[in-house]
Amino acid sequence: MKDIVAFIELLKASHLFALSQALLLFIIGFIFARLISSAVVKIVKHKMTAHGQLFLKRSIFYSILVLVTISALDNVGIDLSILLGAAGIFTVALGFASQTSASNLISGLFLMIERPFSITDVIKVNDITGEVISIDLLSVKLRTFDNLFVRIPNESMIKSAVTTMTKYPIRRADLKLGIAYKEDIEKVRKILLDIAAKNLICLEEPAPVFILTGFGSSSIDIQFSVWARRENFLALKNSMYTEIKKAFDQQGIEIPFPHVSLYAGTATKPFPVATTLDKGTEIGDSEK
Amino acid sequence: MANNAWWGEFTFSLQQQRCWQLGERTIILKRLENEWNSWNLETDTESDEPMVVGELDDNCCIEQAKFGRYLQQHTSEKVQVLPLLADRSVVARPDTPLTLLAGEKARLYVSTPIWFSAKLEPKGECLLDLPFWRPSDSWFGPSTRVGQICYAKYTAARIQLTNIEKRPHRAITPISVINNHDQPLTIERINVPVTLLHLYADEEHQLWTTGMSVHRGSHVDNVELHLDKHAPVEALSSTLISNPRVATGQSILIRSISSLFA
Repeated sequence: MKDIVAFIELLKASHLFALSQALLLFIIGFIFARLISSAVVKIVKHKMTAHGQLFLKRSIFYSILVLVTISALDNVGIDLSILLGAAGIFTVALGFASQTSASNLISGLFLMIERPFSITDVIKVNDITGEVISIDLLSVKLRTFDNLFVRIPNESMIKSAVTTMTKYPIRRADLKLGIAYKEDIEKVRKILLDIAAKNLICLEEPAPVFILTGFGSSSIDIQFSVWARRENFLALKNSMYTEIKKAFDQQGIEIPFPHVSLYAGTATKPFPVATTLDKGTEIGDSEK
Repeated sequence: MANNAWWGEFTFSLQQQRCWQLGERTIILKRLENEWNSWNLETDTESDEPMVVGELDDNCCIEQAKFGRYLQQHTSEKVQVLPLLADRSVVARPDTPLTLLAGEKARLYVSTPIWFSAKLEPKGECLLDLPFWRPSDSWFGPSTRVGQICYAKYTAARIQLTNIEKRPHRAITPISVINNHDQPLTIERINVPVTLLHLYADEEHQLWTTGMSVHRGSHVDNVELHLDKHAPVEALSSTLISNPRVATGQSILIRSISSLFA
C-alpha cells in the first residue's frame, strides 16, 4: 500500500501526472464535443437544412474542442500568452509552408458564410456538374450524375464561376429550332404555343417566349423558351422536342439540315450528281 | 348532372369491381382478397357528361389504363370515395381581364378541378388521389425567384349564377371582390387557395367551395382575404363533403395584392 501511495506521490511530483491529466481532459473533452454537437443537431434537425446542420455541428464541436485544448494546456502549465506569441511566429512560418492549404481553409470559411450553394444542391463548376455531398474546410465534394466522386479545392470554387442549378424553384428551357425558309413563321409560332399550352408540365406563367434568332445558312433559326419546375426540366425538354417534331411532321413543316453542293469554281456549274449501281442490277434513270 | 352522387361509402365484395366514368375518362377499383387493383384511364379532352358509377360493361379500356396494385393483409370491404379540391392553389385566368371600378364590389364565380380520392375504411388509408383532368402547371408570384407553383386554368369568371355550367368534376368558388381604393382594380389572374377551402355539395349534387371575399382598402398594396366559415348562400341545402387539405384556424389572411391578383 505504501508503495502505491509513494508511486502516486512520485507521479504527482513529475510532469507525467500533469500530462496524463491533460491528455485525459482532452480525450473526455473530444468525446463530450462530439456528443454535444450531435445531440444539438438531432434536436434542431427538422428545422434546418443539411447545410445548416453541418455548419452548426462543426461550430459547436470546434468551439468546445478549442476550450478543452486551452484548458488542457493550462493544466500542463503552459503559459498561453507565450504560446500565442509563439503561435504567431509559427503561423507565419506555417503560412509560407502551406499556402495552398491555408488558402483553401480561408476559402472554405468564405464558402460556408457566403453560402452560394448548400448540401444536396446541384452545381456546375467549370465542366463538372453534380450534387454537393459535403462542404469541408479544404474542399467541396460532389457526386456527378454518372456517379463519380469529385473533390474540388475550395480555392478553385472561390476563383471559378459556380452555377447553382437548384437555387430557384423554376427553370427555363431554351429550345433551339430551325425551319425551312419557305415556312410561314406565324404558323410555326402558333403551333409551338399550342404545343406548350397542351403540355401539362410546361408552366403557363411565365409565358413561353418565341424569339427569331436570325437567318442561318440553311434555316430560319428560332429560340422557343418554356418554363418548368426544376424537377421537370429534363422531362419538359424531352417532351417538347418530341412533340415539336411530331407536330412539324403532321403539319408538313420542314426542319432543314445543312445542304452541301459541290462547286468547282466561278466559271463552272455544280457537278452533276449521279448514283452508280452495283453490277448485276438494272441501270437506273440517273444513268440513262 | 346525374341525380345520384358519385361519392360516399361503397361496399365491395370479393372480386367486385366498380368504375367511375366521365365520358371516356375512367377510374376502376377492384377488390381481391389481399390487394386492391386500380385502373386509371386518362383522356386529353374534358368531358361534360354526367358521372356514371357502376360495373364496367367491357374491359376494352383496361388495357390502355394505368394499373395500380395496393397490398393489404386482408382487404376491408368498405371504401370511402370523396371529391377533393386540388392539392395546390389554382390560378384562374379570365378570358378577358376584368376591371373593377373604384368603390365598387362584384361577386365572381370561378370553377376549379376536382380530384378523385378513395380511402379504405375504417383506418382511412389512401388508395387513390388523382385528378379527373390534371390542370397545367403554372407559377404565381412577383418574380421568378419568389412565388409558388400552382395549377393554371382558364375561366370565364362568371358574374351571373345562371351562366354557370354545373359539372360533376368541377367545384365552384364564389369570390366577392370589394375595391375601396380610388383606383380601378384590374384582374388578369386570380389565385384561388383551394387547399384552404372546404368542399360542399348542394341539393343537386353540384360541388361548391367555401366562399372568399377580397377587400382592397385604401392602402396602396394591401388586400385582406377572408375565407367564409360556412357554405356559400348559392349552394342550397348544402352538406359538407370534405375538409381543406391544409388545416388552418385562420379565416382572415392579409397578403400583398400581388399575391392574389396579377
